[in-house]
Amino acid sequence: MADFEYLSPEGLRSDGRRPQELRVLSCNISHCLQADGSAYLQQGNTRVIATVYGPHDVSRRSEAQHDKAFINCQFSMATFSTSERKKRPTGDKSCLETSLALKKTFEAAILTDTYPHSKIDIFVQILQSDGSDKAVSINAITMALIDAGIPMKDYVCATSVTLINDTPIVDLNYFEERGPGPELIVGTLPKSGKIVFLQVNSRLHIDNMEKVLKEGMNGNQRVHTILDTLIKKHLEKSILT
Amino acid sequence: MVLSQTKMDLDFRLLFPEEFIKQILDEGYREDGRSHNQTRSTTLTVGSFKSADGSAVVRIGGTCVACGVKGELANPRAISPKDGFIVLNVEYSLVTGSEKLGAIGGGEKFFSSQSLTQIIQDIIHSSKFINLEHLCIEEGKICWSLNVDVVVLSCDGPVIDACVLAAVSALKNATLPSVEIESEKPLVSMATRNHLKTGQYPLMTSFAIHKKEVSDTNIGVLVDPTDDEAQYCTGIVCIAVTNDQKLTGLYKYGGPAMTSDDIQKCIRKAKKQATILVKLIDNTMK
Amino acid sequence: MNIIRHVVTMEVKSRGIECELGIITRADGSAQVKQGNTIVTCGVYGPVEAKSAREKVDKAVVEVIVKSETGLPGPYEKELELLMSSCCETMILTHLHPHTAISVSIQIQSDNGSVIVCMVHALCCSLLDACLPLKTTFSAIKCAFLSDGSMLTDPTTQQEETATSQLTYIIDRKGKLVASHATGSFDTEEYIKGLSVASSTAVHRTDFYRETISRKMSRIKQ
Repeated sequence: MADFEYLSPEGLRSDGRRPQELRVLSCNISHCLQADGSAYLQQGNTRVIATVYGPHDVSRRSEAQHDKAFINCQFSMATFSTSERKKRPTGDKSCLETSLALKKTFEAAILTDTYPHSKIDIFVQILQSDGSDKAVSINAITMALIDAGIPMKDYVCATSVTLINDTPIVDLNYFEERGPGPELIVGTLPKSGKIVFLQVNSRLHIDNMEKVLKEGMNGNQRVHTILDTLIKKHLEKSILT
Repeated sequence: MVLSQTKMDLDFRLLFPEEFIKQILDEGYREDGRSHNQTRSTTLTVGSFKSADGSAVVRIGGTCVACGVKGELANPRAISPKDGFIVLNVEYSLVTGSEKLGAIGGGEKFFSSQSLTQIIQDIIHSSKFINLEHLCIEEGKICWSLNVDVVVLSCDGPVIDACVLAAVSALKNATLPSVEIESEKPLVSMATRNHLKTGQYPLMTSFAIHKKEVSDTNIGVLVDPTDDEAQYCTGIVCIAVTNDQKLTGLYKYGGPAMTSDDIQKCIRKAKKQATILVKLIDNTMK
Repeated sequence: MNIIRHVVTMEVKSRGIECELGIITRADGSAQVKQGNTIVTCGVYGPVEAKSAREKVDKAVVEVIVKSETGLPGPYEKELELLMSSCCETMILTHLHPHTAISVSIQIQSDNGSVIVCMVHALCCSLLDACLPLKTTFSAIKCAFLSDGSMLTDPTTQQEETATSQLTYIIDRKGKLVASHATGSFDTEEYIKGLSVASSTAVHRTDFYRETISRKMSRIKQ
């Protein structure tokens, strides 16, 4: 795989995108009627379904917090979502880690002090995985939370970035994610530009950090524009009918 | 005909959901404006998940079910060296609000994921849909084990109907790479992929049974009940019919007692619905 | 202790039913039913106070647990639980005991065919033994169709393996269908034929229940 060309001499990626180009993003909002908010988000071949239940009463007394809402976030992957069949959809270590990361991210974005003594359930499942699972999950949850009408500081938008031949590459697919370069996943609140989620896998030189991070933030701005238009379109449609 | 809902109707619905549903059923209406033997629109998509060997997504009204089939090489059991395996597993996705969380999601689920697994495995097996011997690669040495994973993504109404349709369509959609044995080791060639050899396939239709208050002896039958209707009608009947109009499963769970005339009416309707679903599968698979 | 042994044979060919009431002393009602080599024991506990998370304001909650002779409970036991709990929900007048829980445990001791039938009889006997108010008594019969089209009632495990379809009917006192569990490949005529056979046995089963309970009562009087 050493010879695999991540970036052609013309500067195009294996799937024909330019380095800073996002994959096609489409979203189906409030498709699930029982949930308070739901979104099915497709970014290239990565497909994610997210639902939000709540805010509702806490199910255990230990979850109740007197000054803010308790956020429960559970991440899972369908057994047929990856090329190797997964044994269990939930419960393995990487799922638990992702669940915790997503929980922390949205605790920072949701105005939790609006709903003391209550609980917000966030469930997200990957139906097909083709790279950037965490970033796409964050985008899907944002859409579901907006659909549920839960007050947030801003959208949370996320993208993954890698560095190949000193060129930052945005929104990785499976091959690029498994490639030799480092992977940086960044989630921001686009209006203020504040970072709420940041993860770096494998070695990234500190000098390159700024360059990669900037490209990630730029990517988030573009994700924000797309999500914003999708939400507005959805609202227009639901008002008209 | 859709009922015009005034503020008072909505309040009544909220406070006495059971009374509300029973009353409009007695008057011959349903909440969503359907007639008693009218089903909701069913949509089927196949092959949408490329990471699986075969896949299908089924939507019946507000119910959505996804199914993926993945083949694995396995050793056949010593007791049946000529047979491969079909391992079916049904699961409610966490997205539906989880079984354990109970009332948080769309209310308590009538069928637990384990009982769905058992029932669907039974009818797929007894309809002779897939001959397990066709999954054998070399007798006693190596065979295919097909993992059929059904995931319920949202539930409003007959989950079991959607699960059966999804499992059948995903298996019909599945292709497996050809395998050759070379010096005791299996050699998988990804270039040639073949569809499975399939026989008669089952299709399920669910009914909710309720007793009409006005006349004590009459039994009302609702095709394709929503979750609310199923909950207040107490009785559930599930009938599995193959594409050649044979019965392969008839399950009734509680509710008002039925005479043989009542049950025959349900069977006739299930057979009619099966022909519609067969057409749907044929059109999608074309 | 009021143990009653009782054998009834019927016109429709089936193995005799043997029933012992009250064999679990700490349960509110219990029964062991033997049909040939199929043995099932059932215990009923309640109505007792329900846990606040489970309780319902307008009726009693019924929980059914089925255990097979070996191994951990799996999908097969869960499916049987669903069938048995649907029978309980319909047959017990649950609205007479709001805010309470009734728990039923069914243990399959040995399975030599028609196990659902045996479970239903054990369930009904133990509900009667627990003096819970029922809508009517209920009973079951299993029919199996062979490849040549002939019908067997109350098949054994060996006969079940050769059958093309296995139809179990759970019927009320009047012979109407309460619950059904039918697998295999069959057509409408076969199903209806089985149902009419099942209906014809309803009367005999009611007599059997009456006799079982009247024997229990006569013991108490003595």
